[in-house]
Amino acid sequence: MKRGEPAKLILKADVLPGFHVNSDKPRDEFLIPLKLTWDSGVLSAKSIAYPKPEDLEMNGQKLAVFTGTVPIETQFVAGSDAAKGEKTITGKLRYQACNSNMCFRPATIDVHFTAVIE
Amino acid sequence: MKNRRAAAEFTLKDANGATVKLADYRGKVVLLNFWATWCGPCGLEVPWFVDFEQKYKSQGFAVLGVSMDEDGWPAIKPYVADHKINYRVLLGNDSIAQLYGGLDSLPTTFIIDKQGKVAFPPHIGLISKNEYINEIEALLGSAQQETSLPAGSGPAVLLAGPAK
Repeated sequence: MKRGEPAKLILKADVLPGFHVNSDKPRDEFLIPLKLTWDSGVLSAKSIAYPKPEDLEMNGQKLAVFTGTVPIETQFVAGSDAAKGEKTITGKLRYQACNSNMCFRPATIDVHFTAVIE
Repeated sequence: MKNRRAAAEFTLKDANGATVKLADYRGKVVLLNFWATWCGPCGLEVPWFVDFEQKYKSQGFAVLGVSMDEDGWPAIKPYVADHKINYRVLLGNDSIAQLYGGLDSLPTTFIIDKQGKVAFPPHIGLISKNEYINEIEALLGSAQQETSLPAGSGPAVLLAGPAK
């Protein structure tokens, strides 16, 4: 990516069959949303866009969830004074998964990618 | 259930800051439910447990709801109020999770007899209300006992709860 110009990254999270994760905007205030965050550094995350959630009727409750492959798009910008070369960008993805009968504890996983700044 | 094992002892705090020990409930049947505010299936069971607390309390029964919410009482108390929970709610921790098998999934519920022993296999995930009723009433002695009658001696009686 070029300094001062935006670049897009799509992070794909795979939810195992039979499970769902809450979307980034769950309908119930008590539910834990899917959330991607990036550590501050040489790149700035200008925006993070999640896909449109699915409606899932479960046990009488209407949920906004993600299933299958979940593409999350981040628009990054490298500062005009950013050093050229390869940079490792790190972040975290927090999620909380359930199936129809049970839920699993919220989890946070580390994510990273390598950006080449020209 | 044969060869019942003692339920692991624990000491936790309730919503008022009071210290609660499982041993405090010796002599009562206890439904020990591990749950969290973010667990949808857990929420489905809450009204059942409210019913049980109301119906069976006078017979020597109690529900203990151990919340595994990492955000603690600020997350739990509004939920308890919203759902009109009438039973004791405790704040769990990693220690009790380890004592009770890791608690990788919720809800997880144990039915404990008056001697403090786990009376039935733990319930992992959502089960039916009737299954809980059968187990509670079997331990309270509320269910009618099966008796052997000579053939033709009278009407059949209801079976007791599941024999374990």
